[in-house]
Amino acid sequence: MRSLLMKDLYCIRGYMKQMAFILLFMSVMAVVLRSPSLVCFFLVFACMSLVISCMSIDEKNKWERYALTLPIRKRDIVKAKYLLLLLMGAAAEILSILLNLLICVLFDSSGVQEAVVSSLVVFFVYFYIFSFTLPAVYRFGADKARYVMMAVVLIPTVGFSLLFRLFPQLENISVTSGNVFVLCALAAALAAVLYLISYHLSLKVYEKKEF
Amino acid sequence: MEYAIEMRGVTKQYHRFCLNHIDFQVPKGCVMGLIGENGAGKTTLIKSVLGLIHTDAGEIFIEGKKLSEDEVAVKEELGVVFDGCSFPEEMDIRGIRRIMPGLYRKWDMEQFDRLMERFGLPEDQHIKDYSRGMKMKLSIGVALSHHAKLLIMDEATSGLDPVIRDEILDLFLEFMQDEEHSMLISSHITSDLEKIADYITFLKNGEIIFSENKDDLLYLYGILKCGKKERETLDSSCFVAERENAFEEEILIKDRKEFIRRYPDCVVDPVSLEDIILFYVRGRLL
Repeated sequence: MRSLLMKDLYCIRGYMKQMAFILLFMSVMAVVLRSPSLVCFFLVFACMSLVISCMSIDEKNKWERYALTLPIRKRDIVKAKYLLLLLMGAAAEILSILLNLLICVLFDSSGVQEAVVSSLVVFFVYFYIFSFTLPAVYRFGADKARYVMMAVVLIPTVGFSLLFRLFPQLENISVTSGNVFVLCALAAALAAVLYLISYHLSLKVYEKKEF
Repeated sequence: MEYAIEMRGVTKQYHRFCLNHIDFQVPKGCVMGLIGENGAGKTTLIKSVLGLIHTDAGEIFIEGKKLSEDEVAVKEELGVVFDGCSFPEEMDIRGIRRIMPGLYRKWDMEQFDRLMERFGLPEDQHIKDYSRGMKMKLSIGVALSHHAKLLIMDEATSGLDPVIRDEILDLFLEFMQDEEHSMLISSHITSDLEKIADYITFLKNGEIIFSENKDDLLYLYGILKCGKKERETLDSSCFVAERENAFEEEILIKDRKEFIRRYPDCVVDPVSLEDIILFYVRGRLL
């Protein structure tokens, strides 16, 4: 598993350097504008882009065809990708929380909880998007799966916009500090369930796939 | 006889192609060359051996075991090289050193380093900057660094210059010094197979036309050159295929020695593998 993860990191090494450079710039912007959400969203975008790029490079190099001749199982290959997205997400989340804290400490210490919660929400959204996208990558390939990813982002966005338009009273619902942890726990549980379902779905798709 | 690879009645149906009821064996300790035109089914056959595609019927055994029985143990004994290098382009030899020991239980770092030195592959150069020859050397080096018993090569020497091909073929011959080792190699370059193969299997449209000992094959077949009138006087039972040119007819015959004994005045040339394929593919079968 470690070797497969290291191979993935080699795949995206070049992209990671580019992303690190952009992240540095965005972090400065976030501090100047006192808007940590900028970095938060960028990190999610960067992680998604890196994981999809990694799979796209694998396709180009026909890595999976070769990997399946190595003494590893199909499920190890799928597991490695899910682990990669988990590790990338965790790294992004830690970075995001640290930056949020830094900005709060420097400028407005009262918003720490809100900042942490907002970065957690973005993290859950990242899992939600990937849970739908990864099986599609295995089924249709990395390039076509980008459309699925767009649909996964757009459909709920449009759906919620319509919901709020149809039921304006929903906008009056406020999240209090009391129920925010319950909501976070529920979101985390939902993300974990989606992640596990997605893994098993990808595995099924992968078992049937031919190389 | 023990087999490194054994296929029994393997069938794989595609929309416009069918690998049709293949019975195929690679004897242990031997090099089996797989030849055939593009689309004949060589890669499909290799992919089915490796479990990369799902076959519709039949059984496949590698070193006497089914792949599904103990996938990891069977693959530990395999070294596979495809027509390209599958490692990430950002990787270099140091990266290969880091990842491969975790993938193969019997990874031999000293052997790998020896091969890399022998091939003259630079340590710190990214794979993206390698030539095709260097990439193939790297892939072959990896396949030979974990004490594999069976090497499977799919067009591994295609597109390489004669010097590199010769170097690689020498390495294969060294690998075959161990009687436990076996090899399945598909190639368009029949001269390479003439150098190293013990057996030749010829595929056409998903079917095995013949699978025979290479020396027997080259000894058995011959090309008869004659005129139309002369041909009519000859026994056609040993004729396999024919092709015509403006001046004479060329006929691929079986049992060359017997034919020469019966017709000592006829011109019968020895054949190469390429001649045999061309007769089967482009000639008219008799």
